Amino acid sequence: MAAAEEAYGAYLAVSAEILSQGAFDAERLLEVATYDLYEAELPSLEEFASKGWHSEGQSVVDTVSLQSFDAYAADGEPTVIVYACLDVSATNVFDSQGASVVSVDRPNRTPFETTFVYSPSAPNLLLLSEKSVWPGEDFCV
Amino acid sequence: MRLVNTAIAGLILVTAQFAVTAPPCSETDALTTGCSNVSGTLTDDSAVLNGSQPGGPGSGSNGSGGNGNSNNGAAAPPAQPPPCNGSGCVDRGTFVVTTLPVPTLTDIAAFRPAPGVDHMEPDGWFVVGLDANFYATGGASVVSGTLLGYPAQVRFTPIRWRWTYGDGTTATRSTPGAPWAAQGIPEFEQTSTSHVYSLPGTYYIDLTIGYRAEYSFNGSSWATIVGTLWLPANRLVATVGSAKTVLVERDCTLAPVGPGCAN
Repeated sequence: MAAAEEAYGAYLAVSAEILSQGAFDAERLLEVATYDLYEAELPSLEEFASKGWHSEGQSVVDTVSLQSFDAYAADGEPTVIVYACLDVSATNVFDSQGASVVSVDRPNRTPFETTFVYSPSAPNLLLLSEKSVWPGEDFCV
Repeated sequence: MRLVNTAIAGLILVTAQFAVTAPPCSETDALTTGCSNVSGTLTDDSAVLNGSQPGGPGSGSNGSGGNGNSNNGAAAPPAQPPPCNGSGCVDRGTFVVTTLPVPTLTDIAAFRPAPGVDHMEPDGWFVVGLDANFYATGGASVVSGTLLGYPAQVRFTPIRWRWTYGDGTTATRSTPGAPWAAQGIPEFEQTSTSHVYSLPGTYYIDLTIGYRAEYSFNGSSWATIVGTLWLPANRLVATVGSAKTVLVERDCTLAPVGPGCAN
């Protein structure tokens, strides 16, 4: 689980760096995420870049708990699934004029269910492969 | 998901249960508007939604649909029509409702697009320190066949190109590239798909093309299959050498021992 938490942190660090620079170098996400997740993120990153936005600060995760570890997942790759709270309170997003575009309704903490798989090129490296908001009880309150 | 259909005296009852999970949330959404955690289920006679949608159009709370209750959006069971007794109504008999399956990339393994072709400029030789231009040809293709037991077509559209240059580096691009001439760029200049080798030698260049796959059952509209299908293109072999320009006194091919030619 510590490896998953570390991998999630690495993903958020790379993501923060990409967004702070206007999301022009989205392919860096492949260092910490699977290609499918990168593909899923790409449209929103490209839209972010086209609007001339940039972010400041970095999201963090806490309250990480293991949901499952499947050494024999359907696609043959060991899979780690964890619950985690994503905290975006230390981040802000600005448009090209320097005005914040963050919604006043944005929740600072959101429960996520995230899936990690081992990198095919680096056996000890976990890559974020899926993430979705946990629809059950909000354990981040 | 299960779907059962029964018909009793002309009255169609469809029993279905669907589970709806919260949608994925992009990083940019999480940072700007926040993420929806709406999820729910559809059962025989009710739709239950739980969660909230922060910000943006459609947000709010205590919403309800139809004549449902206001606390969780659960709709009341629909009123059932009276049995048809032949007066003022027509018994239309029994209907069979068929739901078509949703294929995955694994299901379309038997479908393969026309392979893409990798090209290089210059053709087969590069110069250390100068850009070599790579580009791929091959567009979208449609393949017909049987998918999950139904006649179907699968459309493949190339969307990503991943080059492995043979020198330990790779690059994934969103464009297939094009010849220098087609781009109006002088030879050995940088392009969006060019690469510079730093050491002489023989290199094997492999291209893998990522396709978006869409399917259509029996002429229905195209629906996208989740994920990207990666398929290899042809392998290229190139020799990379050093180049040096030297001013010589005469044509070295005619007088190889002339001043400067020995270099």
